[in-house]
Amino acid sequence: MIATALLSISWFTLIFVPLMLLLPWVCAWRWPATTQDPEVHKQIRARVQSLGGWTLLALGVWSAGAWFSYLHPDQAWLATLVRVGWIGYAPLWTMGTMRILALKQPSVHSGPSVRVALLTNRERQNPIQRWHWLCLWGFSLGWVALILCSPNAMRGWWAAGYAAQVLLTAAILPWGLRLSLAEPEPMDASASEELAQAYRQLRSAKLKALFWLLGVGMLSLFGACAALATWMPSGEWAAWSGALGGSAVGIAGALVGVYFGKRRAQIAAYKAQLDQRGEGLGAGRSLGRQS
Amino acid sequence: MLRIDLNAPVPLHDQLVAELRRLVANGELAVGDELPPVRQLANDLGINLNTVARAYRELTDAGLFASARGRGTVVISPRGRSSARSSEERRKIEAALGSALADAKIAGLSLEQTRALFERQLNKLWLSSSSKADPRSSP
Repeated sequence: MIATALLSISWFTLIFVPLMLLLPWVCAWRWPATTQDPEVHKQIRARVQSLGGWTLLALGVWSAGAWFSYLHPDQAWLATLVRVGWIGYAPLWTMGTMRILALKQPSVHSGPSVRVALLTNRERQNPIQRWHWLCLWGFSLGWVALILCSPNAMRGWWAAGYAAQVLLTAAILPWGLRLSLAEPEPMDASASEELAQAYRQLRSAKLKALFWLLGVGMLSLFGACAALATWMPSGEWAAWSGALGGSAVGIAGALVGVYFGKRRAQIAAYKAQLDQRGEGLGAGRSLGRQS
Repeated sequence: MLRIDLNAPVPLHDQLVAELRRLVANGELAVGDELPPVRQLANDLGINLNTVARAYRELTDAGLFASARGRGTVVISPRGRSSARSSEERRKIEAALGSALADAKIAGLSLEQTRALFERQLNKLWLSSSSKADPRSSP
């Protein structure tokens, strides 16, 4: 009977709603903590447990709703409530997860009152060189040429649309890269060289990832879709490549974001350790061993 | 490196100006050196953008920094620049010293305590800058 009841709900509702309700608790539980304070760790544990309780309650209410919806199929409003039950993640996230994450990863500046900064102009250390931009323009021109060579009567419009996307990206991307260069890099009191090196590596990798993903990756995807739309007789090819390529770029972006988030957390933890001990190079665990 | 203290009784803007002056005096910031953009320094220190912008502006007005096209803010004033030797510049420095010493006396510091403070500041500026110029000259 239970199996029949479950099957009466669409697979989307069955999987999506519980996953969304579980997500806030999983994030709060698994997200790495950079704080060193044992009292805060205790507080985090208590709040994660409390959030777990609220999550179970939300899942219980939703399951009961789903069950009653099966028992009373004539009550359309109940079925609708069960389908939109995923909205329950919002209060769990804002009231629970966000507060726990704030405790786990306090602001980058929440160290001692003494603030130290290096006086290097990071805009002069931009890892995106001229050859990177030449690659981007080269790839883009290649796609434009491929589109223009097609026998499609609309090729001019496709090429113009793609060129507009290239120009828009070329206008926005340098601004995004400059913003990334200004991301806070607070130093410890002794301006540890190891900490500075960790910031340098993170910055370089982050900017390169941003450039290749949002610049070359996205433009190549758009170019490939436009070329397929003009060269292939059916629009299906362009649609499929857009869907698959877009998903691949999105997943790659998410993975890169998670990786850099983890790396930032490690650096923040290392800085907190240096601040706490008031030592410079070689204080406690090194970054290499932490990662 | 530049250091400020949020708990110090001195306003952040004054601390920033004093630190930048010290770095120029020490030679840690040399003529032609580019300063970090206002946004970058403000983000690194976790302070307001306007505080940094005001400090840069004040030191630009004082003739220590200049805005260079395509390079942002750069250091232009060498140590021992000729204008520092002018009588007007000396009078300004003397007035500032007099004001600082008067503050020390008002705060209730003894002559010895004031002298010790003065000595410390002198050593900080002159010894550290001479050791940068010639490592063998450091004590």
